[in-house]
Amino acid sequence: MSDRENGGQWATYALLTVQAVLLGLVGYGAVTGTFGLAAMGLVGLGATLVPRALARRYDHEVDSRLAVWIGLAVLGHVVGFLGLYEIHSGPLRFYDQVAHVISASLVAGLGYAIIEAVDESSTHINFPEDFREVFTVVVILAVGVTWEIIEFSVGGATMALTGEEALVQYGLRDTIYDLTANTLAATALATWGTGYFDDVAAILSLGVFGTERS
Amino acid sequence: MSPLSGLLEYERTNAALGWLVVGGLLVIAVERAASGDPLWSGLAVAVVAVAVVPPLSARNPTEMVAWEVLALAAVPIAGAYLVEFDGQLSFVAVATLALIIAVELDALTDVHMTPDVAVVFVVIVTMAVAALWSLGRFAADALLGTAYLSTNDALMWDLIGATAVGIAAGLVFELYVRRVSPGHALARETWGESR
Repeated sequence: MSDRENGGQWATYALLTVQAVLLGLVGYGAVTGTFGLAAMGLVGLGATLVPRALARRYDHEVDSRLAVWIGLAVLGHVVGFLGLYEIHSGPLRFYDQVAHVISASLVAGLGYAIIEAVDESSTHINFPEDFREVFTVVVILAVGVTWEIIEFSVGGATMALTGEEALVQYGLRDTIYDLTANTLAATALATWGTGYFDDVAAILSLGVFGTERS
Repeated sequence: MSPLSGLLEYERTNAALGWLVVGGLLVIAVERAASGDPLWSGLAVAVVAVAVVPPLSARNPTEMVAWEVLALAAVPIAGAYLVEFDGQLSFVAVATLALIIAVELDALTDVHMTPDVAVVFVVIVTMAVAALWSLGRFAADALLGTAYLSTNDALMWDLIGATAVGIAAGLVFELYVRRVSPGHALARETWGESR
Protein backbone atom coordinates (compact mmCIF):
# COMPACT_ATOMS: atom_id res chain seq x y z
CA MET A 1 0.00 0.00 0.00
CA SER A 2 2.01 2.95 -1.18
CA ASP A 3 0.85 6.42 -2.05
CA ARG A 4 2.76 6.25 -5.29
CA GLU A 5 0.04 4.56 -7.33
CA ASN A 6 -2.38 7.39 -7.93
CA GLY A 7 -1.85 11.07 -7.38
CA GLY A 8 1.68 10.65 -6.09
CA GLN A 9 3.29 12.68 -3.34
CA TRP A 10 1.33 15.88 -3.76
CA ALA A 11 -1.82 14.05 -2.68
CA THR A 12 -0.15 13.01 0.55
CA TYR A 13 1.02 16.56 1.29
CA ALA A 14 -2.35 18.03 0.32
CA LEU A 15 -4.13 15.58 2.61
CA LEU A 16 -1.80 16.36 5.51
CA THR A 17 -2.35 20.09 4.98
CA VAL A 18 -6.12 19.73 4.96
CA GLN A 19 -5.99 17.51 8.05
CA ALA A 20 -3.75 20.03 9.84
CA VAL A 21 -6.18 22.86 9.06
CA LEU A 22 -9.11 20.74 10.29
CA LEU A 23 -7.22 19.89 13.47
CA GLY A 24 -6.52 23.59 13.98
CA LEU A 25 -10.24 24.38 13.59
CA VAL A 26 -11.13 21.62 16.08
CA GLY A 27 -8.67 23.18 18.55
CA TYR A 28 -10.07 26.64 17.90
CA GLY A 29 -13.63 25.34 18.42
CA ALA A 30 -12.66 23.60 21.69
CA VAL A 31 -10.82 26.65 23.07
CA THR A 32 -13.55 29.15 22.19
CA GLY A 33 -16.33 26.85 23.34
CA THR A 34 -17.79 26.49 19.84
CA PHE A 35 -18.39 22.79 20.33
CA GLY A 36 -20.53 22.45 17.21
CA LEU A 37 -17.50 23.52 15.16
CA ALA A 38 -15.17 21.17 17.07
CA ALA A 39 -17.53 18.22 16.62
CA MET A 40 -17.95 18.96 12.92
CA GLY A 41 -14.18 19.20 12.49
CA LEU A 42 -13.64 15.88 14.29
CA VAL A 43 -16.23 14.08 12.16
CA GLY A 44 -14.57 15.64 9.10
CA LEU A 45 -11.12 14.48 10.20
CA GLY A 46 -12.55 11.00 10.67
CA ALA A 47 -14.01 11.10 7.14
CA THR A 48 -10.60 11.87 5.63
CA LEU A 49 -9.28 8.65 7.23
CA VAL A 50 -12.01 6.45 5.70
CA PRO A 51 -10.26 5.74 2.34
CA ARG A 52 -7.10 4.55 4.13
CA ALA A 53 -9.18 2.41 6.52
CA LEU A 54 -11.06 0.83 3.59
CA ALA A 55 -7.80 0.14 1.80
CA ARG A 56 -6.45 -1.68 4.89
CA ARG A 57 -9.64 -3.57 5.66
CA TYR A 58 -10.16 -4.90 2.13
CA ASP A 59 -6.53 -5.02 1.10
CA HIS A 60 -7.27 -3.06 -2.06
CA GLU A 61 -5.64 0.21 -3.05
CA VAL A 62 -7.75 3.37 -2.94
CA ASP A 63 -6.90 6.38 -5.08
CA SER A 64 -5.12 8.71 -2.64
CA ARG A 65 -6.69 11.79 -4.23
CA LEU A 66 -10.06 10.62 -2.88
CA ALA A 67 -9.07 11.49 0.72
CA VAL A 68 -8.04 14.99 -0.42
CA TRP A 69 -11.40 15.36 -2.16
CA ILE A 70 -13.23 14.32 1.03
CA GLY A 71 -11.04 16.67 3.08
CA LEU A 72 -11.81 19.66 0.84
CA ALA A 73 -15.56 18.91 0.93
CA VAL A 74 -15.49 18.73 4.74
CA LEU A 75 -13.31 21.83 5.03
CA GLY A 76 -15.71 23.70 2.74
CA HIS A 77 -18.61 23.00 5.09
CA VAL A 78 -16.70 23.69 8.31
CA VAL A 79 -15.46 27.04 6.99
CA GLY A 80 -18.95 27.79 5.68
CA PHE A 81 -20.29 27.11 9.15
CA LEU A 82 -17.76 29.64 10.51
CA GLY A 83 -19.63 32.37 8.68
CA LEU A 84 -19.08 32.19 4.91
CA TYR A 85 -22.56 30.67 4.42
CA GLU A 86 -24.04 33.89 5.80
CA ILE A 87 -22.50 36.10 3.13
CA HIS A 88 -25.12 37.05 0.58
CA SER A 89 -23.30 39.68 -1.47
CA GLY A 90 -19.93 40.19 -3.12
CA PRO A 91 -17.73 37.56 -4.74
CA LEU A 92 -18.25 35.07 -1.88
CA ARG A 93 -22.02 35.08 -2.35
CA PHE A 94 -21.93 31.73 -4.15
CA TYR A 95 -19.73 30.07 -1.50
CA ASP A 96 -22.66 27.91 -0.38
CA GLN A 97 -23.18 26.58 -3.93
CA VAL A 98 -19.45 25.93 -4.47
CA ALA A 99 -19.18 23.97 -1.20
CA HIS A 100 -22.34 22.15 -2.22
CA VAL A 101 -20.93 21.21 -5.64
CA ILE A 102 -17.75 19.75 -4.08
CA SER A 103 -19.61 17.52 -1.65
CA ALA A 104 -22.31 16.66 -4.18
CA SER A 105 -19.62 15.45 -6.58
CA LEU A 106 -18.41 13.07 -3.85
CA VAL A 107 -21.92 11.73 -3.39
CA ALA A 108 -22.17 11.37 -7.17
CA GLY A 109 -18.90 9.43 -7.16
CA LEU A 110 -20.24 7.12 -4.49
CA GLY A 111 -23.40 6.72 -6.59
CA TYR A 112 -21.27 5.82 -9.61
CA ALA A 113 -19.31 3.30 -7.55
CA ILE A 114 -22.54 1.65 -6.33
CA ILE A 115 -23.86 1.46 -9.91
CA GLU A 116 -20.60 -0.15 -11.02
CA ALA A 117 -20.72 -2.60 -8.10
CA VAL A 118 -24.35 -3.54 -8.89
CA ASP A 119 -23.26 -4.06 -12.51
CA GLU A 120 -20.65 -6.55 -11.37
CA SER A 121 -22.88 -8.26 -8.81
CA SER A 122 -24.81 -10.45 -11.30
CA THR A 123 -24.47 -11.86 -14.79
CA HIS A 124 -28.10 -10.85 -15.39
CA ILE A 125 -27.17 -7.20 -14.90
CA ASN A 126 -25.15 -5.24 -17.42
CA PHE A 127 -24.63 -1.49 -17.26
CA PRO A 128 -22.34 -0.31 -20.08
CA GLU A 129 -20.06 2.69 -19.39
CA ASP A 130 -22.26 5.34 -21.03
CA PHE A 131 -25.36 4.06 -19.24
CA ARG A 132 -23.51 4.19 -15.90
CA GLU A 133 -22.55 7.82 -16.54
CA VAL A 134 -26.03 8.97 -17.53
CA PHE A 135 -27.59 6.99 -14.70
CA THR A 136 -25.21 8.62 -12.20
CA VAL A 137 -26.80 12.00 -12.99
CA VAL A 138 -30.29 10.47 -12.71
CA VAL A 139 -29.39 8.92 -9.33
CA ILE A 140 -28.02 12.22 -8.00
CA LEU A 141 -31.20 14.04 -9.00
CA ALA A 142 -33.14 11.45 -6.97
CA VAL A 143 -30.69 11.70 -4.04
CA GLY A 144 -31.12 15.49 -4.13
CA VAL A 145 -34.90 15.11 -3.91
CA THR A 146 -34.45 12.67 -1.00
CA TRP A 147 -32.13 15.10 0.81
CA GLU A 148 -34.50 18.06 0.36
CA ILE A 149 -37.40 15.93 1.64
CA ILE A 150 -35.31 14.91 4.70
CA GLU A 151 -34.42 18.57 5.38
CA PHE A 152 -38.06 19.55 4.97
CA SER A 153 -39.46 16.83 7.23
CA VAL A 154 -36.77 17.03 9.93
CA GLY A 155 -37.20 20.81 9.97
CA GLY A 156 -40.98 20.43 10.21
CA ALA A 157 -40.84 17.72 12.88
CA THR A 158 -38.35 19.53 15.13
CA MET A 159 -40.33 22.75 14.66
CA ALA A 160 -43.47 21.00 15.89
CA LEU A 161 -41.69 19.34 18.83
CA THR A 162 -39.28 22.01 20.07
CA GLY A 163 -40.22 25.20 18.26
CA GLU A 164 -36.84 25.28 16.53
CA GLU A 165 -35.80 23.81 13.20
CA ALA A 166 -32.83 21.39 13.42
CA LEU A 167 -32.37 21.44 9.64
CA VAL A 168 -33.25 24.63 7.84
CA GLN A 169 -34.52 25.07 4.33
CA TYR A 170 -33.83 28.62 3.28
CA GLY A 171 -36.60 28.81 0.73
CA LEU A 172 -37.63 28.01 -2.80
CA ARG A 173 -34.60 29.58 -4.47
CA ASP A 174 -32.24 27.68 -2.18
CA THR A 175 -33.93 24.33 -2.88
CA ILE A 176 -33.69 24.97 -6.62
CA TYR A 177 -30.01 26.07 -6.34
CA ASP A 178 -29.23 22.90 -4.35
CA LEU A 179 -30.84 20.69 -7.01
CA THR A 180 -29.02 22.59 -9.77
CA ALA A 181 -25.66 22.30 -7.98
CA ASN A 182 -26.24 18.54 -7.55
CA THR A 183 -26.95 18.15 -11.25
CA LEU A 184 -23.89 20.15 -12.32
CA ALA A 185 -21.67 18.22 -9.89
CA ALA A 186 -22.99 14.85 -11.06
CA THR A 187 -22.59 15.80 -14.73
CA ALA A 188 -19.00 16.93 -14.15
CA LEU A 189 -18.22 13.77 -12.20
CA ALA A 190 -19.82 11.50 -14.82
CA THR A 191 -17.84 13.26 -17.55
CA TRP A 192 -14.39 13.51 -15.93
CA GLY A 193 -14.27 11.90 -12.52
CA THR A 194 -15.49 8.31 -12.66
CA GLY A 195 -11.97 6.89 -12.69
CA TYR A 196 -11.34 8.08 -9.11
CA PHE A 197 -14.08 5.78 -7.87
CA ASP A 198 -13.21 2.50 -9.59
CA ASP A 199 -11.34 1.40 -6.45
CA VAL A 200 -14.36 2.18 -4.29
CA ALA A 201 -16.55 0.19 -6.70
CA ALA A 202 -14.17 -2.76 -6.46
CA ILE A 203 -14.23 -2.60 -2.65
CA LEU A 204 -18.04 -2.38 -2.66
CA SER A 205 -18.19 -5.42 -4.95
CA LEU A 206 -15.89 -7.40 -2.68
CA GLY A 207 -17.06 -6.19 0.71
CA VAL A 208 -20.75 -5.43 0.38
CA PHE A 209 -22.02 -7.50 -2.52
CA GLY A 210 -19.52 -10.32 -1.98
CA THR A 211 -18.98 -10.60 -5.73
CA GLU A 212 -16.27 -13.09 -6.66
CA ARG A 213 -13.56 -11.53 -8.74
CA SER A 214 -11.99 -13.52 -11.50
CA MET B 1 -33.73 -14.63 -22.84
CA SER B 2 -33.74 -11.96 -20.22
CA PRO B 3 -36.07 -11.95 -17.20
CA LEU B 4 -37.80 -8.71 -18.13
CA SER B 5 -38.73 -9.75 -21.65
CA GLY B 6 -42.11 -11.11 -20.52
CA LEU B 7 -43.32 -7.53 -20.68
CA LEU B 8 -42.59 -7.34 -24.42
CA GLU B 9 -45.14 -9.42 -26.22
CA TYR B 10 -45.57 -10.69 -29.69
CA GLU B 11 -49.25 -11.47 -29.96
CA ARG B 12 -51.72 -9.88 -32.31
CA THR B 13 -54.35 -9.16 -29.68
CA ASN B 14 -51.78 -7.38 -27.55
CA ALA B 15 -50.52 -5.42 -30.56
CA ALA B 16 -54.03 -4.39 -31.61
CA LEU B 17 -54.87 -3.13 -28.10
CA GLY B 18 -51.46 -1.45 -27.85
CA TRP B 19 -51.90 0.44 -31.12
CA LEU B 20 -55.39 1.45 -29.96
CA VAL B 21 -53.83 3.05 -26.86
CA VAL B 22 -51.17 4.75 -29.02
CA GLY B 23 -53.86 6.12 -31.36
CA GLY B 24 -55.88 7.45 -28.44
CA LEU B 25 -52.79 9.13 -27.00
CA LEU B 26 -52.00 10.79 -30.33
CA VAL B 27 -55.51 12.26 -30.47
CA ILE B 28 -55.12 13.58 -26.91
CA ALA B 29 -51.63 14.94 -27.70
CA VAL B 30 -52.93 16.95 -30.66
CA GLU B 31 -56.02 18.16 -28.80
CA ARG B 32 -53.98 19.19 -25.69
CA ALA B 33 -51.40 21.03 -27.80
CA ALA B 34 -54.16 22.87 -29.65
CA SER B 35 -55.80 23.98 -26.40
CA GLY B 36 -52.53 25.33 -24.97
CA ASP B 37 -51.63 22.59 -22.52
CA PRO B 38 -48.05 21.63 -23.49
CA LEU B 39 -47.38 19.57 -20.31
CA TRP B 40 -49.98 16.87 -20.93
CA SER B 41 -49.41 17.00 -24.68
CA GLY B 42 -45.69 16.45 -24.16
CA LEU B 43 -46.29 13.57 -21.78
CA ALA B 44 -48.65 11.89 -24.30
CA VAL B 45 -46.07 12.34 -27.06
CA ALA B 46 -43.36 10.86 -24.80
CA VAL B 47 -45.44 7.72 -24.15
CA VAL B 48 -46.20 7.34 -27.87
CA ALA B 49 -42.51 7.80 -28.76
CA VAL B 50 -41.40 5.12 -26.30
CA ALA B 51 -44.25 2.79 -27.30
CA VAL B 52 -43.33 2.73 -31.00
CA VAL B 53 -39.64 1.91 -30.42
CA PRO B 54 -40.00 -1.92 -30.35
CA PRO B 55 -42.25 -2.23 -33.46
CA LEU B 56 -40.04 0.23 -35.38
CA SER B 57 -36.75 -1.36 -34.41
CA ALA B 58 -38.08 -4.85 -35.21
CA ARG B 59 -39.93 -3.63 -38.34
CA ASN B 60 -42.82 -5.66 -37.05
CA PRO B 61 -46.06 -3.96 -35.96
CA THR B 62 -47.02 -6.83 -33.63
CA GLU B 63 -43.94 -6.43 -31.44
CA MET B 64 -45.50 -4.23 -28.80
CA VAL B 65 -45.04 -3.52 -25.11
CA ALA B 66 -47.69 -5.32 -22.99
CA TRP B 67 -50.86 -3.33 -23.63
CA GLU B 68 -51.78 -3.19 -19.91
CA VAL B 69 -48.58 -1.27 -19.22
CA LEU B 70 -49.24 1.17 -22.08
CA ALA B 71 -52.80 1.60 -20.80
CA LEU B 72 -51.49 2.37 -17.29
CA ALA B 73 -49.33 5.15 -18.76
CA ALA B 74 -52.32 6.43 -20.74
CA VAL B 75 -54.91 6.41 -17.92
CA PRO B 76 -53.68 9.51 -16.04
CA ILE B 77 -53.24 11.35 -19.36
CA ALA B 78 -56.75 10.44 -20.51
CA GLY B 79 -58.03 11.17 -17.01
CA ALA B 80 -56.58 14.66 -17.06
CA TYR B 81 -58.23 15.15 -20.45
CA LEU B 82 -61.68 14.02 -19.35
CA VAL B 83 -61.82 15.47 -15.84
CA GLU B 84 -59.69 18.31 -14.53
CA PHE B 85 -57.22 17.13 -11.94
CA ASP B 86 -53.90 18.15 -10.54
CA GLY B 87 -50.50 17.44 -12.10
CA GLN B 88 -49.44 15.05 -9.33
CA LEU B 89 -51.06 12.05 -11.05
CA SER B 90 -48.93 12.70 -14.13
CA PHE B 91 -46.19 10.94 -12.16
CA VAL B 92 -48.13 7.67 -12.51
CA ALA B 93 -47.53 8.10 -16.24
CA VAL B 94 -43.88 9.07 -15.64
CA ALA B 95 -43.28 5.97 -13.47
CA THR B 96 -44.94 3.72 -16.07
CA LEU B 97 -42.88 5.36 -18.78
CA ALA B 98 -39.76 4.57 -16.72
CA LEU B 99 -40.82 0.91 -16.51
CA ILE B 100 -41.34 0.74 -20.29
CA ILE B 101 -37.91 2.32 -20.82
CA ALA B 102 -36.33 -0.24 -18.45
CA VAL B 103 -37.96 -3.09 -20.38
CA GLU B 104 -36.88 -1.67 -23.75
CA LEU B 105 -33.30 -0.99 -22.58
CA ASP B 106 -33.16 -4.59 -21.39
CA ALA B 107 -34.61 -6.06 -24.59
CA LEU B 108 -33.06 -3.84 -27.24
CA THR B 109 -29.70 -2.62 -25.93
CA ASP B 110 -26.63 -3.86 -24.06
CA VAL B 111 -28.17 -2.67 -20.81
CA HIS B 112 -29.58 -5.58 -18.82
CA MET B 113 -31.31 -5.58 -15.47
CA THR B 114 -33.19 -7.95 -13.21
CA PRO B 115 -36.82 -7.22 -12.21
CA ASP B 116 -35.66 -5.99 -8.77
CA VAL B 117 -33.22 -3.54 -10.32
CA ALA B 118 -35.90 -2.41 -12.81
CA VAL B 119 -38.22 -1.53 -9.90
CA VAL B 120 -35.49 0.53 -8.22
CA PHE B 121 -34.81 2.12 -11.63
CA VAL B 122 -38.48 3.16 -11.86
CA VAL B 123 -38.45 4.84 -8.42
CA ILE B 124 -35.16 6.65 -9.10
CA VAL B 125 -36.17 7.85 -12.58
CA THR B 126 -39.54 9.09 -11.28
CA MET B 127 -37.83 11.13 -8.55
CA ALA B 128 -35.25 12.47 -11.01
CA VAL B 129 -38.00 13.59 -13.40
CA ALA B 130 -39.69 15.35 -10.47
CA ALA B 131 -36.42 17.22 -9.80
CA LEU B 132 -35.98 18.17 -13.47
CA TRP B 133 -39.62 19.20 -13.63
CA SER B 134 -39.05 21.55 -10.66
CA LEU B 135 -35.97 23.05 -12.32
CA GLY B 136 -37.90 23.46 -15.57
CA ARG B 137 -40.76 25.23 -13.85
CA PHE B 138 -38.33 27.51 -11.96
CA ALA B 139 -36.55 28.40 -15.21
CA ALA B 140 -39.87 29.11 -16.92
CA ASP B 141 -40.93 31.37 -14.04
CA ALA B 142 -37.62 33.25 -14.17
CA LEU B 143 -37.31 33.54 -17.96
CA LEU B 144 -40.83 33.40 -19.37
CA GLY B 145 -42.69 35.11 -16.56
CA THR B 146 -44.91 32.13 -15.76
CA ALA B 147 -45.99 31.42 -12.16
CA TYR B 148 -45.73 27.65 -11.77
CA LEU B 149 -43.93 27.69 -8.41
CA SER B 150 -45.28 29.56 -5.41
CA THR B 151 -43.72 28.64 -2.07
CA ASN B 152 -40.99 26.26 -0.98
CA ASP B 153 -43.56 24.26 1.01
CA ALA B 154 -45.69 23.78 -2.11
CA LEU B 155 -42.64 22.64 -4.10
CA MET B 156 -41.64 20.23 -1.32
CA TRP B 157 -45.13 18.69 -1.26
CA ASP B 158 -44.89 18.27 -5.05
CA LEU B 159 -41.60 16.42 -4.64
CA ILE B 160 -42.97 14.29 -1.76
CA GLY B 161 -46.07 13.46 -3.84
CA ALA B 162 -43.98 12.46 -6.87
CA THR B 163 -41.71 10.31 -4.67
CA ALA B 164 -44.71 8.59 -3.06
CA VAL B 165 -46.21 7.90 -6.50
CA GLY B 166 -42.85 6.55 -7.73
CA ILE B 167 -42.51 4.17 -4.76
CA ALA B 168 -46.15 3.04 -5.01
CA ALA B 169 -45.73 2.43 -8.74
CA GLY B 170 -42.52 0.50 -8.06
CA LEU B 171 -44.37 -1.78 -5.62
CA VAL B 172 -47.24 -2.34 -8.07
CA PHE B 173 -44.76 -3.17 -10.85
CA GLU B 174 -42.95 -5.55 -8.52
CA LEU B 175 -46.24 -7.43 -7.97
CA TYR B 176 -47.10 -7.20 -11.67
CA VAL B 177 -43.78 -8.54 -12.89
CA ARG B 178 -43.81 -11.28 -10.25
CA ARG B 179 -47.42 -12.45 -10.46
CA VAL B 180 -49.09 -11.44 -13.69
CA SER B 181 -46.24 -11.55 -16.14
CA PRO B 182 -45.11 -15.14 -15.28
CA GLY B 183 -48.52 -16.25 -16.66
CA HIS B 184 -47.12 -15.78 -20.15
CA ALA B 185 -45.28 -18.76 -21.55
CA LEU B 186 -42.28 -16.61 -22.52
CA ALA B 187 -41.91 -15.17 -19.05
CA ARG B 188 -42.43 -18.52 -17.30
CA GLU B 189 -39.52 -19.97 -19.16
CA THR B 190 -37.17 -17.10 -18.39
CA TRP B 191 -38.22 -16.88 -14.74
CA GLY B 192 -37.46 -20.55 -14.29
CA GLU B 193 -33.93 -19.85 -15.50
CA SER B 194 -33.28 -16.68 -13.63
CA ARG B 195 -34.48 -17.69 -10.17
